[in-house]
Amino acid sequence: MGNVEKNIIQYLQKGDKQGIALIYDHYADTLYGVLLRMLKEESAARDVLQESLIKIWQKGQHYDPAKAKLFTWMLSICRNTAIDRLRVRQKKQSREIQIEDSTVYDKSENAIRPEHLDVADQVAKLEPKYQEVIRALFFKGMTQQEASEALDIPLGTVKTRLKIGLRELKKVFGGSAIPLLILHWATIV
Amino acid sequence: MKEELKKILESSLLEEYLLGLCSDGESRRVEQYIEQYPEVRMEYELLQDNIEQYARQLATPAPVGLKAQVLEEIDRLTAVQAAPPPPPPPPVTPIVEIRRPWWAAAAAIAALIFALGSFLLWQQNSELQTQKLSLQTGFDELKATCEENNRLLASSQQQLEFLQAPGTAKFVLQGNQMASGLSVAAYWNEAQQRNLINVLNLPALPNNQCYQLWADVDGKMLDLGILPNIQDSFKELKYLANATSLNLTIEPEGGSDHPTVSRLVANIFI
Repeated sequence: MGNVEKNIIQYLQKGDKQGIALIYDHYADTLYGVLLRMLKEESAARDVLQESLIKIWQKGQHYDPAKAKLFTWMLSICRNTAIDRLRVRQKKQSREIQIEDSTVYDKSENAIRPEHLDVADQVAKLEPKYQEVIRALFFKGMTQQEASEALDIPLGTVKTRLKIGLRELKKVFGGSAIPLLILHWATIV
Repeated sequence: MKEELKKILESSLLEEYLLGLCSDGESRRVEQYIEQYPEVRMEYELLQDNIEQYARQLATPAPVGLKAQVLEEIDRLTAVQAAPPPPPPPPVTPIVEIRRPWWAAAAAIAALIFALGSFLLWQQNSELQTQKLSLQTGFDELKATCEENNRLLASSQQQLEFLQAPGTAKFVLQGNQMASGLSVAAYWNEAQQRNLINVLNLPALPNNQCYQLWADVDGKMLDLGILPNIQDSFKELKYLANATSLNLTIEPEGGSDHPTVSRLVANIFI
């Protein structure tokens, strides 16, 4: 753990706002970039980053470095706040989507553009039965239940194929594919 | 122990843990592995480093002025939490030398009462905001726990009602020599068009294999799903009408589209 991280943790545990100032200087651009990718809107990413930093300050005293690194913990708070925002947005959009008689999944796929980070290329090398589950969950924004219905396979099989798909990605492509998928996890609500 | 360690490292447990896919039990197990095995901890830390490294590639300059705004908001929240008691009202000096009309005195008193009232209301509002924030956090946590417990309770009640329903028949699949000791109970209810599978004992399989259940419908073997490898667990699989028998085979992990008949380990007519 670096000195900056140690200082930040000490400040957070004391509830000192200096911790947030340091977090901002060292992590704000990264967290903002991730949120921008998830939310696709500058104003929404800005609001969610502000809300997340306040939450980080409020929850700082309960942060346990033994369970997760500081960045992982902060990313998880940002992601959960972004998911709440996406849920509200999806509710608003659902009526329009029904009227247009299109599917929400196609819209999400266009919005996420996983190919930009070559994740799609990596997933495309998996066996089709694992590919379809990973695509449904990560690139089309379906829940596991929705994927089960859309693909007409039992829910348990979706879970099993997801686990195996993840393991295969890890086995074949090393540690790079999973982090990219994690960064796209926000669409699964 | 080495075998167990190898199995953990080759699995996607750590990734699932970070993705939030693990159940409470699995999460506790992962945390225990991280604590118990330095190799697992190293892998977990490496995975987190990878995530940070990839996230940094997405870095975009944060909006100008946001830092000041966040710090101001924290100052405001801190001030609300530690609001000082209101200053005592200044003493009212009696007017002796200059006589003012009575309505001027009344207006002054009214203004003073209004100012004091406004201050008290502002203070009360600030305290309520703090309490609301704290209550909301507590409420959210309690709600999440409650929902999870209700879900588990409802699921258990549904299972019990199904097992006790008049039309529910029980069939026990016993393993042959390829899966000695295998025992799986299938509860079948035609009227409700539902089933529930209870895994009593499943002999261990290599990592790349699984047990898959099939139903014989009009002479065709149709997929019902993959059995969970957890003892004493209940699971509802796909229901197929007009099934005449249940058949359990060993398949490559992830399941197959057609059963491998040579690897049939148990079957029963229903």
